[in-house]
Amino acid sequence: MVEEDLRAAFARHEHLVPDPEPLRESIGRAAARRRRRRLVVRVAGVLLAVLAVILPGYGPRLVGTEDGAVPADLMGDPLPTSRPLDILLLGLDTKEPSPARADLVMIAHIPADGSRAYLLSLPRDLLVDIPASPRNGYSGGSGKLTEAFAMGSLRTSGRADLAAGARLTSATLNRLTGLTFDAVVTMEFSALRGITDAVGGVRLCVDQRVRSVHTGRVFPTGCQRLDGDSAMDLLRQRAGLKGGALDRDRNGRRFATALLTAARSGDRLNDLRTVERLRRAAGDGLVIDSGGDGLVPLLAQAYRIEASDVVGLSLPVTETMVPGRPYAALEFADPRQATALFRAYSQDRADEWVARYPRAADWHP
Amino acid sequence: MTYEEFANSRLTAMLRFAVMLTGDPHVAQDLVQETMVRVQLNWRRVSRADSPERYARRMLVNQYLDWRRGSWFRRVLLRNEVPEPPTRRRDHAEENADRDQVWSWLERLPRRQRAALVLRYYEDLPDAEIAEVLGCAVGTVRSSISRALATLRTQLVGVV
Repeated sequence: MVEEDLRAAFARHEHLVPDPEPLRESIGRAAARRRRRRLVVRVAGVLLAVLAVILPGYGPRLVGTEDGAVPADLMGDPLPTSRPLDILLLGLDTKEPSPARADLVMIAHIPADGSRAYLLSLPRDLLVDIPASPRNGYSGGSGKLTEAFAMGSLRTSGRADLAAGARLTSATLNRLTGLTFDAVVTMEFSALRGITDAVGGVRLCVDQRVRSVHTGRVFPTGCQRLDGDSAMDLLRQRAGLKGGALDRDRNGRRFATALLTAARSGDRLNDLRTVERLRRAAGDGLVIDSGGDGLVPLLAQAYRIEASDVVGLSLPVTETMVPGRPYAALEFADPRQATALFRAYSQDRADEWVARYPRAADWHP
Repeated sequence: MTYEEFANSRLTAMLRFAVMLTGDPHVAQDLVQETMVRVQLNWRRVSRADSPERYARRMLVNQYLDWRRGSWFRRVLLRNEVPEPPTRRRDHAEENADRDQVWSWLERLPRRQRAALVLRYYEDLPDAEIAEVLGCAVGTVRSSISRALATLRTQLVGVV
């Protein structure tokens, strides 16, 4: 009796079952978001693990943290021997959801001995040969470096696919430089802002007065403390700078160095709450692709470097026209110099290159 | 089997099951979404199971049993992503409160008992499989069901 009533009640309410199609889409979106968030959690977990190794007395405090212990598979295999690392760093000033363009492009090179880091800016307007992206039907061709990200990340609807944009940029630069990257780190300015605030701001020095065309704020020549908002404001400026985007690239290198300094300074990263804040601050705007390598060895190596050992590099460029397009781009003024640098990166002899072209370095040891 | 194939063939069934468990299409969507996101992210493990479907169903039931009632932020956050289902006109019979009394009694049962009832009287699973989905002994399944039925019977007698 009751059994029959039950069967009938269930059958009667089948009309409540909603259409699965919209749900399918939102499952896909939620899974993609969760994947990105997982990466960020991994980064935070990895930071904790790195700290556990570096900072004495930190280890025991890991037990029972909110994130739990760091699972073993995050650790990856230790790097076979110390080997040089090439890491691609992409900064995105995304205001619009799509297309996302990479505004700051840097290749960090850490020699096998881990003694320093070379930070090479590539101009966003550099003329490059972009490979095809079958994923979204882009057929490839000549364009600006910044477009590689846009073409890769483009989706017919919804938010730009940051991971795919990073992949196409990485493939483009692989063609240009012959380098393969141990990791690609993509950060939206929004994430950088949060991270900057989470480490308590940065101390940044500029060699020319900058007036923001966005907010009107003036950054005087010399050193200043900047919070996340003002640091992003400064990084956004290129129109008012003497050397335009190239000067902005230099500010980008300074910012990266300043961020490293701030993150290392004091006991800040020793504080779990800060790490948790960092994780939250970065949110969805941080995507790290480290290939098969564990992030811990990568970060451990990066973490050893003192900010004073970061050597900023840039290559002289001249204007050229984009084939078949009515606008100009940039190309290396001395292609041989560029080729020599990429070779020096891959042969781990960047120091020799810097000794030969001292003017390409912001400073040199 | 890929995740897409799985979703193609099983999503509706999962939704049905979730509606019967929760009694509410919105909550059911949340529940299925949460479960399927996990299924997708852990697809390698799920697909290695003898029956991915049973595995996913078990995940869904666990999710449902653990689900904190009134955890508003979760429901609100998830709700934002799920479009409202189209409202359907209910016929007169459905408006009839008496007929839906069994349904509303189900609401008051402990979740584990309700899950057991749905698995037996809606999904028509044998007790052994119900036990597997619920992660308990067959005896426990039988006793939950008989306790649930007893509760419903007293309610029914009370009305009549």
